[in-house]
Amino acid sequence: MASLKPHIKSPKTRRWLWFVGLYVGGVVVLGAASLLLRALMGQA
Amino acid sequence: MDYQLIWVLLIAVAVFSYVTLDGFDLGIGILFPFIKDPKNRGRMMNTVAPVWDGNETWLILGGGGLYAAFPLAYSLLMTAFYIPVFTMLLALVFRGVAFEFRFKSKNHQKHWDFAFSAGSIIAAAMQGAMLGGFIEGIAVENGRFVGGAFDWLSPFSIFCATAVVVGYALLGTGWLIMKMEGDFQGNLRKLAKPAVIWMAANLGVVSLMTTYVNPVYAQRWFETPNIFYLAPIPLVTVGLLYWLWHAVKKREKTVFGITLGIFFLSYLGFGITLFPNIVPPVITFRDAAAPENSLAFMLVGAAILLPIILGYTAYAYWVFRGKTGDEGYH
Repeated sequence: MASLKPHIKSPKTRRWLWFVGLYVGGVVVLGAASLLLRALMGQA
Repeated sequence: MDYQLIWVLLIAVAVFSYVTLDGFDLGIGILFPFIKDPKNRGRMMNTVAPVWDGNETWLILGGGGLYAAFPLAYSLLMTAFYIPVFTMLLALVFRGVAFEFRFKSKNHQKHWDFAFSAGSIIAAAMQGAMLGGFIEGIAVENGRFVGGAFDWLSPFSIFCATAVVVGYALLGTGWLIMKMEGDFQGNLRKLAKPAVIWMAANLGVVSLMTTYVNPVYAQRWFETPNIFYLAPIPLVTVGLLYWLWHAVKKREKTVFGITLGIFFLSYLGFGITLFPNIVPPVITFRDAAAPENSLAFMLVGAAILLPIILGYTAYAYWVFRGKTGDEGYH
């Protein structure tokens, strides 16, 4: 079974990865929501 | 005389002036969530208190000029971007009111800080979303807008919104590094470093996605011989980003200057990508222009008023040059 311990130890690197993940994830989620909204409005 | 070309260049200059001048004072509001001390927040606002409303003159000039010189473009763009334009204007109202009320309010200063910050972030984000929607193109048939109210909303426009917010934040940081000193300036330098990386990444992604959005844009940049003529623009931008990364550590005025240079090259690239379209992908500035007589008549007014606007703007920046002390202007 894979270890649950984090592989990346450096707090700075972890902060950066969290930030990039949240940023990219946020844009993807909001982008998908925008396409859904346009589809619901019949504009996609 | 080619009045159509003169007017499209005048409007381009007005829009660029707005983007850079209001960009850095919007950036100050965007930075508010990262600066907790109310005294420092007051100092930040004081650096732009004498100039922020003058900076917005250029938005009026750009919008008014578009309405008068290219009425077809104005009608199409206002219809296509009705929601983001009005959201942006409302956000600017909140922000403008907060400027005056924050300094007087004792019990509700936090609320005015929130209005200032949220107004700045929303205004910048709406401008970025419109930029994205503009690059993706407006649905036009027989000179009429045939799209929907949310056509401007897409993953690309959302990404552009974040890119403009980050770009303005960096401009604001550069401005504040120039106007502040001591420990607070050191804190601003720490904020600027990740903002440089973030802006560089955003610039790269937006540039590449722009060429992907429309094959004509890609041809303009990547076909020979254009690629040889245009390559200096991205190459110099990369050089400026590298210089900025190093300047952030110790320079004062250079950070703001380099960021302005990066904005200029990005704007130039944007213009080269879209020219001669004023409403992409099909309406050119010549299709949308008002009659020659009107353009010539308006040019007389612009020739008188523009030097006056430039004169008082330069005078205001000259009078309030240098470091902003703690006493402020309110």
